[in-house]
Parts: sequence; structure tokens; C-alpha cells
Amino acid sequence: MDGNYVVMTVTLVIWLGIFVYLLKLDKKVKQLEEKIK
Amino acid sequence: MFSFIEPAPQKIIGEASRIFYYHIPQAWISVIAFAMSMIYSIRFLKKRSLDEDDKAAATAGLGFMFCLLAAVTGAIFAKVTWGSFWNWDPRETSIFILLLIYGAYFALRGAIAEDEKRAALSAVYAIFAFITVPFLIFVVPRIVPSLHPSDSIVNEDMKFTMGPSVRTIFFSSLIVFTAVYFWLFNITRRALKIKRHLLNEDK
Repeated sequence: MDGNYVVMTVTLVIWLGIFVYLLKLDKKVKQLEEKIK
Repeated sequence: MFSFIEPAPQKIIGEASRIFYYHIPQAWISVIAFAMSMIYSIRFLKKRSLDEDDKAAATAGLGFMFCLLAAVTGAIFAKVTWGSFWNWDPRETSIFILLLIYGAYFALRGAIAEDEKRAALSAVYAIFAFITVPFLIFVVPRIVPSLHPSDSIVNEDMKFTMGPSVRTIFFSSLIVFTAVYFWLFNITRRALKIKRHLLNEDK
């Protein structure tokens, strides 16, 4: 079961990283959209 | 998270069965993305708007990425259950052909400099490319003997083969992957629109 928790933690970190990256990217694109309006 | 804790490992293949919660949604998203690419390509041919071409390219790119992820997770599953990463099983061969078909789509896009011409040719290509998707994903692996499990979700009578907890986690995973795909598509589409706007300003 311990191995499962290691994989789960790694997966969670990856998902969290993707989520934060997309959030930042979304914000940046929104700023650029406002700039060119 | 629950995919690692809640359902008991499958009796025969053990803990490797948990990859199912990632592999199937990735394959599902690649089909959705390629279908969207065909829809936007048809819309481009009707309206001749380059925005539609940008959307078709964006979703085809995401479809390719998810298809690659499905191939990688499938290879990991194959290593654990069949003993090697790649066996040229009908399902593996068909996903490889699909990756080549959509790889050629991006090669085509990269080879044409003129916007209108590139959009028109790649739109026609994307429509023909999608015709192969149902054939390669749903037909070929069912008519040729394959090691790939075919009754993971429903059986021949179209009844769920999963238990309630597995079903809940599987559909939650499907929803999360679909949401991530639409989020990625939305960001890519808007970024391409900004890029086109800036390129038009420079001209």
C-alpha cells in the first residue's frame, strides 16, 4: 500500500502543477486580451 | 486521488488496473478533440474564417497530446500485464497509425506558408483524418484478435461491467479530464487569436 501512496502523491503534485500553470496562463492571456482591445 | 485508495486492485492484474482511470479518459479526450477538429474544419470551409482554422489546429494539437498520453499509459499497462511495452497488438498498431495520421496533419500545416492555402488544405485533410478515427479506435481492435481488454466499461449487452465505486471514480476522472481539455482548448484558442491579431497589426 505504501507504494500506492507514493504514486498518489506524485500524481497529486503533477495535477496541482498543471492546475497552477493553467491558472497563471489563463490570467496572462486575459491580460493580453485586455491590452489589445 | 480515490483511484489509488478506494477500489480494491483487480484480481488478475492487481494494482496495474488503476491505470484504467487515466488511460481511458485520455483516449476518450483524443477522440473528442479530433472530432472537434473536424467540426471546426467544416466550419472553416463554410465561413472561410481563419479563426475557425486556429480552433481546428488547437484542438488537433490537444488531441495529439492526449493520444500520445494514452499510448504511453497503454504501454505501461502492456509492460505490467503482457511483459513488454510494445507488442504491435491491433490496438497499439491502430493508435500508432492514428498518431502518424495526425503527425502528418502538423507536417502539412508547417509546410505551407500562405495562411488561406494552409487553412483550406489542412481543413480537408482534418475531415478525411477523422474518418479513420472510429475505424482505427472502435472497428479494427474488435475485428482482429487482440490482447487489449474490450469489456472494461460495458459488456456485449451494453451493461456496465464496473462496480459502483469503480464507476464513480471512473466517471469523475472522465469529467476532470474533459474539463482540463476544454480549459486547455480555451486558452490555446484565445492565445492563437491574440497571435493572429498581432501578426495582422505588423502587416
